[in-house]
Amino acid sequence: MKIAVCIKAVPDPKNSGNIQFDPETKHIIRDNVTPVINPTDLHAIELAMALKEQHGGEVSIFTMGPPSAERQLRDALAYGADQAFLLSDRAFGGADSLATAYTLAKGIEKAGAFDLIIAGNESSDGGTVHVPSQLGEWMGLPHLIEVVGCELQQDGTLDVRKKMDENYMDFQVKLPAVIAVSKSINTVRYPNIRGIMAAKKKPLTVFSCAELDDLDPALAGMSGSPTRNGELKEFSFSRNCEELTGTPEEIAQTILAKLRATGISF
Amino acid sequence: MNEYQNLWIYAQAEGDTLQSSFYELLAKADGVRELKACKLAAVLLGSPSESVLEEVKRSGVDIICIAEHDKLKTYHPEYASMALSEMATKYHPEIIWLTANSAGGEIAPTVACRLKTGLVAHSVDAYLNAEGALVHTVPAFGGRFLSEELVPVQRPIMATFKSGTFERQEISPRPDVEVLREHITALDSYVSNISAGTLVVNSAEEESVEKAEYVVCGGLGAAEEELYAKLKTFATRTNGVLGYTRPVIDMGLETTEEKLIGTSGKSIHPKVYIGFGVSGASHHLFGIKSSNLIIAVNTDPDADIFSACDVKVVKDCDAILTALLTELNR
Repeated sequence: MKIAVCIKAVPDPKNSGNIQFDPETKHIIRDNVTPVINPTDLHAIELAMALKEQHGGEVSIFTMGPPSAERQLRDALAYGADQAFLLSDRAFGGADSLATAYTLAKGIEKAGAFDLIIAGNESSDGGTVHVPSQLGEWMGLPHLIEVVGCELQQDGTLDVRKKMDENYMDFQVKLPAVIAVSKSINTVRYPNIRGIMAAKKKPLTVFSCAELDDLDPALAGMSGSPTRNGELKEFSFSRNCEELTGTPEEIAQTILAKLRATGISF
Repeated sequence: MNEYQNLWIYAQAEGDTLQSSFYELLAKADGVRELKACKLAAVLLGSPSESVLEEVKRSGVDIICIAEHDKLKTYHPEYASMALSEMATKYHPEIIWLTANSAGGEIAPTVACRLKTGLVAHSVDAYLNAEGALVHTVPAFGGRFLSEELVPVQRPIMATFKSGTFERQEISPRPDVEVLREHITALDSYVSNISAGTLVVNSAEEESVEKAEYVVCGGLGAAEEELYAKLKTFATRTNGVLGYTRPVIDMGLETTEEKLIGTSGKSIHPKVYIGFGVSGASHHLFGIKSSNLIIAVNTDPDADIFSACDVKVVKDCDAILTALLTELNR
């Protein structure tokens, strides 16, 4: 079974408080923030590794990003994936979800034929949950998001359970297909030192815009993005704020009194 | 005259129940209708029941578009997306709005890709800018900013909104509501590689953070095992529903987004919200803005949540939680 996993390098959510925004240039200043693999994408990698262990095959990791994203691809390889592909070109910059999904689709198609493409459901920074569905559309493949369970059947179909608001829905999907998995689908096994060492020698291919000969540059990057960022507005949520001071005991008493005053009983 | 006109709202119905978020989007759309002098349409997939149809007719829309097909009776992401794309290709709406729930959140990007147009996720507001262009705003990095998102060229402009973003308003019914029924012929012979779905009702019914009257929320400053356990005890002890922000999931203390509070999670409107170690990124602040009373505990005096709360406590969360638990055990 050939599996592709799409990952995204995001600012480390653990120190996202360090992200600064320059309202003049509208740029995110992430100097103090180390990029990591988007947390949900680790569950996509885990699922791919579990499927490979059960059914054999090969796992390839894909990302679109700057050259520095090689680091996150190497991290992904440490989980046991076989090879990685970095789609990197200035022409891919400024892409919205539609153009990102297009570029990923072209990169995956260039790398070969895959039975299953797995993505993390949402990124911790953008969080739009657009790319997996749009990747499926660009590739002409069936796609499902919010996947919380999946099992490969003997006949090659994939049984998928997806979240539907507070309930679930079960589907059978003919492969090849694209699925986006939620964190609850599995528990990530973190790589050991052997995995980390092996990752350094695994093949990592960089595709530039010119190397993706099937890619129409007009559909990638900023030129392929229908959305544009406009003004940045400062927003005020301000309320008449009262500060509680004193010892923790005094504050605790006041908080509990306020809760009771609103009619909450405990 | 512009080929693309009118604002569509995707209205979801289950049996005789019209999803309430339709009315929330309608309230905002009514304002856009006035500004743009356009018409409002509700789009329904499948065969809505008579009572749903009557309800939509009285809701204040000008037009009802119904995409009809047997394959649209239960949710199927591909069939639903095909139907909405077909309808949009035939009738050229200028704007399509959807609720960012499981169905809307899956159909919207699929349709946007089919129509090769722009989609704004989890918008919190919509208005016309000085040039008369429709703008959707989304919370941006940094806590205090809203980013305006535009789709300058492609049509329709698409956007999703979390339920709870707007308040429902009474809109007078329009006298002659036009009902367009369209049989989706493309679905006749098409067989998806995704089977028909089977609904699995989640019997482990958890308390919902959206419906809760009292919400306790943990943020980055409480995203540590021992502290989070204290927070849980406090929530249970005071009969509150415990919600959280993304760092709590990232630290592995919660595994689902079921009670993630903010525009990328759930928007809430309790009587009381009390946040511990919540910094107050705009995503989160938009999600709690309809709370009657907001109490915030954070060690950082500059935390953004302090500019959005009614009661502010600049103290260590652990110290306050410990004191609260001691008081409760007294």
